[in-house]
Amino acid sequence: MTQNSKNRKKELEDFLRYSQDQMSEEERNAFERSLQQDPFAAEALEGLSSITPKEARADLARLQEKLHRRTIQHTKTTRKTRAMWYRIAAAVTVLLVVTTVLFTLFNDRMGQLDRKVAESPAAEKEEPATVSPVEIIQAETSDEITPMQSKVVDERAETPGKKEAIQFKSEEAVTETEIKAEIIEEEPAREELADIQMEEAADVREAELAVAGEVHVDQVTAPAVAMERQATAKSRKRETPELSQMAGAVGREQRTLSGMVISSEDERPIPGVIIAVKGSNTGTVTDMEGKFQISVEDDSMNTLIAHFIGMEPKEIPVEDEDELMITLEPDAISLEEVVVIGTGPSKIAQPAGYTVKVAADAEEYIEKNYRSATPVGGEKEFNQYVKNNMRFPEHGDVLTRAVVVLSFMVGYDGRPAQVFVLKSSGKAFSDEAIRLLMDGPDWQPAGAEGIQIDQATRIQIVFKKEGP
Amino acid sequence: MLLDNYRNTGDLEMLGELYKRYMHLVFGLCLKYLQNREDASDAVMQVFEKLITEIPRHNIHNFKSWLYVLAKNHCLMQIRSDKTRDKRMERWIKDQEDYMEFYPELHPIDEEENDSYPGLKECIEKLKQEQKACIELFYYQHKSYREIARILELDEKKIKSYLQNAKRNLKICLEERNDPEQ
Repeated sequence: MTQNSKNRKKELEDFLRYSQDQMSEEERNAFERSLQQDPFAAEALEGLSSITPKEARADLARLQEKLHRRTIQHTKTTRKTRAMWYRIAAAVTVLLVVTTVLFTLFNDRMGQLDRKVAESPAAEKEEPATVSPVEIIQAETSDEITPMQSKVVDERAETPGKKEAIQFKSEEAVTETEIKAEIIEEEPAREELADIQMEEAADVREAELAVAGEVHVDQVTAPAVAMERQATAKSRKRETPELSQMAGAVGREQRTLSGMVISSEDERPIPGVIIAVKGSNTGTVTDMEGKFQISVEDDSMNTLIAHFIGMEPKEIPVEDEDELMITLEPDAISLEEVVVIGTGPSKIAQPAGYTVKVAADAEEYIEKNYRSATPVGGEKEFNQYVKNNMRFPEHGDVLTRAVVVLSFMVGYDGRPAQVFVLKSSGKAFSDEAIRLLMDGPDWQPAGAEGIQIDQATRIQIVFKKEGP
Repeated sequence: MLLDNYRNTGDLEMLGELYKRYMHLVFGLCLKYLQNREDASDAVMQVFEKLITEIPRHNIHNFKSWLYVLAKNHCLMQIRSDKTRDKRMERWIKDQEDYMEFYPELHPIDEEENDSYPGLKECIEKLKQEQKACIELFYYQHKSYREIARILELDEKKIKSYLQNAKRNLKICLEERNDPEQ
């Protein structure tokens, strides 16, 4: 190994000597001959000759250092994770207890007051109070396990059960139990943020979505969901100061990146865009104003991926920016809200069994007078029909915009048949799109006056949740 | 060795040790393509991250040549993504990575004792004037590119490309000679 690294060092020195013209002609030739056999080295030399040896040495030293930190850091984090768990768990429990106590206190004092009114000031006032004890505890927690911590472990064992119960309740409704549940729910939420390795993408999306909760919840969503969102959002807000502390304690430096996603078409924000950190399972979804926040590891090689149905996915390399503006381009096929595409006369791939022989002169006739399949009453009518009758799928509240592309044939009776889903944001959307098509108006088949061609027609239906 | 160890243990320090040996090459390569020290440094680290994800997915026979292809593609992709993002190109490059592990194949003329290689001398005789001169000067008189350029009053780049072409022609000539059927 040492032999090897010596060789490498010599290789680098040779590069530098060569580019600095410090070799005899004979040496040059020998070196060049070795390069003839090694295109990697030859190209590397070309690159290295463009900078001075001093720069090259400095850069490489820095890179070695970086690489070292990268590999060491990894090993440490893996080892430390367990110890961190206890600390985090301890902090969480303390916060939990304190919040519960304070909450009960306030709740009593507020008496019969409306829950909603009571909640928000309580949450506000708690903030300073909760932060300080946690800070103290964090300072106190050391590597050995205190009684407090062991208690935590017990409690943690219980959580899975609790979690389920909580989710169940919060889906249903609005009573005081939910308030308590919501406090406990902080725990899973925090775990996710504190230790990315453990989180699951789905959870994250849910949790991050909650950040968007401060935005007005749209009328379409069921009130129960709205409550839940608001509630989680608040609990999240309260956490934020501790969160950053926590991240610091874990040793992996995290930072928060915020940004906004707009469409290149109209430069307006796009809600519901999935933002993920490449190579990890951290992710979030933009809020109603197209804004998002995401925590990334604080180094220079993060890449975000922005996904949205109907738009070209985009990768955004992130260096040290804190604010990002991401512009998404529409997918090649999303043209208008509802697009009817007739796919050219004949010669187009057709489903088996649908080949129609057309005499040569008839072909010419069709070519001249071709018209793609159209809904009876015209495209405008059809668009209006879709708009009026669209039911935004109930469980689609993660997305506020979705696209479904359908392919179908028009039968002799003018009814759509052989419907295929070419592209969809989910089953609920496909089902609704098919329903719209099947319940919709009759279609005029493709072809020319008097002659009909069996031909697949494509339509694109865009679902949009009406904003506030 | 180190690579096998890393595969078995997943110990990043091991991979780091391995990568360190080639870092100057990767850095130089990235400098060539990205033409900027900062970008090249970033690319070196990105390539390392790529290694972590790509190594388990490939059957690697020769780490150095595999790394060469990987790093080069990374740089090319970077350049392209700066200009226009072309999905197809990206996919194409990805496919290449699977198949295009580059095996360094020693050209007969690069071998130490090439005198005894059957037919090599005859094939050199058949080369065009400039190519023959370059081969003669580079391989038999041990002149550097720079000296050859001076002697032939040509650009150094020209010398390199003559050598490249000469080697290709030699290879074709030798193959025909040793396998006259085709």
